[in-house]
Amino acid sequence: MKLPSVIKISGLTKYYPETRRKWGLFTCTSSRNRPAVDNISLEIEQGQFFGLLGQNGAGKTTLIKMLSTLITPTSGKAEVNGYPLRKEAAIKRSIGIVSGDERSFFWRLTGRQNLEFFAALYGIKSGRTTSRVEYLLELIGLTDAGDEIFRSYSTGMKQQLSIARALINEPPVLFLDEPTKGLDPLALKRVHEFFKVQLNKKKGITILMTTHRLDEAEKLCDRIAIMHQGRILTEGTIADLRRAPGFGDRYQITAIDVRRNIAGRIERSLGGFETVFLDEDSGMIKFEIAGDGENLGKAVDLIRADGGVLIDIRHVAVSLESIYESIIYPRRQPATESPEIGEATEGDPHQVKDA
Amino acid sequence: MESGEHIRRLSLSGGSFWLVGRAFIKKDFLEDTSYRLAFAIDLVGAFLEIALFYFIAALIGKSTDNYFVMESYGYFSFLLVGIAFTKFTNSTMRSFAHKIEDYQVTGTLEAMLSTPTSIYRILFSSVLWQHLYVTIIMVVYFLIGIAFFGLTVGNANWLSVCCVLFLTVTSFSSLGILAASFIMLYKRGDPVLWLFGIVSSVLGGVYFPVKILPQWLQYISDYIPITYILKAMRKGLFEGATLTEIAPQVVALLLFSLILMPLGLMSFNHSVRKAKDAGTLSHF
Repeated sequence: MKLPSVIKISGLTKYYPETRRKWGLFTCTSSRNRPAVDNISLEIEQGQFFGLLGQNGAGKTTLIKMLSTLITPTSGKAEVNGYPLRKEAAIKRSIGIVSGDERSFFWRLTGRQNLEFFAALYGIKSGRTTSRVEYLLELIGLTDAGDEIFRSYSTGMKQQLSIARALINEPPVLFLDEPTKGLDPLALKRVHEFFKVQLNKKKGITILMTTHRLDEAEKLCDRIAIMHQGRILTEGTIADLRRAPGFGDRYQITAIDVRRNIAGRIERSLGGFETVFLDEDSGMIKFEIAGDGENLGKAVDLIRADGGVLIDIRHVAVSLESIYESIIYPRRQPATESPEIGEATEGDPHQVKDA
Repeated sequence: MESGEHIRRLSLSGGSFWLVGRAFIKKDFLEDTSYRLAFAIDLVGAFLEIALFYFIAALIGKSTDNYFVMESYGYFSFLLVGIAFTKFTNSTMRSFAHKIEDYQVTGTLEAMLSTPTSIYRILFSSVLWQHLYVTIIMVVYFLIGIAFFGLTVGNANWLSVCCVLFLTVTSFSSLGILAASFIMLYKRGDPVLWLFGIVSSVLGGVYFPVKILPQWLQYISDYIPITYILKAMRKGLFEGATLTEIAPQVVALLLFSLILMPLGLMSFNHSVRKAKDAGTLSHF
């Protein structure tokens, strides 16, 4: 069943005014340059964990800031929790923002004092502030460190406090802008679990996260969109991406004693394949084919009919990094995560040794 | 753990001015008092500054008699009001721009603007502690003058003094908001503070009476709020002038406030829109 969309974006575009220096002294705002966000349309369902992937400068943060009403779009429309972008206060009431920027706190105050200050800005009355702040500190595991000065916090603790601040108003939507920047592996694991289990699964908070870490997106996100130069190049689940033509799993086949012109025969029989290595003199070939069973059967039959000996067949999973790279730079072929010849992976049902 | 019911009962509107104002005062107080020497240095500085001007006044006192023949106070009293109120007006004026700049540099501006509290409430609340602090410092100036240097304010009309003080805050806050709008857009180099800071010191009657200036400069001083503030404050403090007696100055200050406040707010609104358009709210 399709859940209602809590974030609806339609044709959202942002051009930043370009400032140029005239005669080395005066500045003037000139005509538009390349858009930071270019005609983006997107819908994010309630309770979804959505990832925006892209390199630095892809437009991810600009998009999040437009949805948070901190940057005015040049054109297009968007709704957050049913409110159009012009309803700034209503949107701000219903969202929380976590950014990877450590600077957004008052460094000479304690963690608790920082949260109490921001609670007032969210309109939480004095009588309720203490219990709310206490609850949040407990939720993020900072109860004991709540009365320590913020500047003495580790990067992980600062990030946890940033998460607590974003939850002050119990928002149904969270924007996470590169929320794990600078975290060590242990803190990263804790924060990932907190986002996925506590916030997304248990509380049902819809999360829009920007990241350039593909492993993070794969671990946390139900759906992702890949942004490049302000545009969304592709969108869907990671499984969808892996199934997309050209990005699916593949088989790598190594055979010896094949006859000359084997490449032509494979081409005629299977259509598309990629030669990794071919030595006509010794009769050795290593090639890759798309990863469905029918293709594999045809290839094996062909090699055997050709009098060849199968040395190795291995299943090759295309890495998300390769898919990502291929989407952003379409001319490059996706690289594969293949172990070296002879380094057979134990338990791989597709691997055939000396078939 | 807090129950979901409790969460639903939370107020989700932006904080009221009282709530937000109190939060800012508490935050700024905690931040300022975390610098332990700052207040002590301000106190010692005030004492030394008053002593300096006391001895200068003692040195040149006789030669200034011609200018104070009509007044019931001497050059030192004249100077003390000038210095204390210049400090007060400069602080009032600079506090807005200074806070915006500080929040941009520390990255807290965007965090605050991500909450439902309006930017105007944030702007006005952010200077409350600074206004309170500089008022305390100004009172300290007068207390030091009374305790150590023979200043007398026995004839003061406190209603007039408070009224002028209020109008000082409104007129110079307007200029401060105007200055903040420049900082919001250009980050550094604010012409309002520079212009009013210099011109007020030279032409406003801070260190010497306006009447010693050439006539054409006296005309210019008529367009500077501090001229009226100092004149009315000296009359109220030392001559016990009633509101009626300082009515021309009060009306002038009221006019400054009525003209400058909307101008400041419009300018700030324009700057915020520009900064949101350029995506530079948090840049510095």
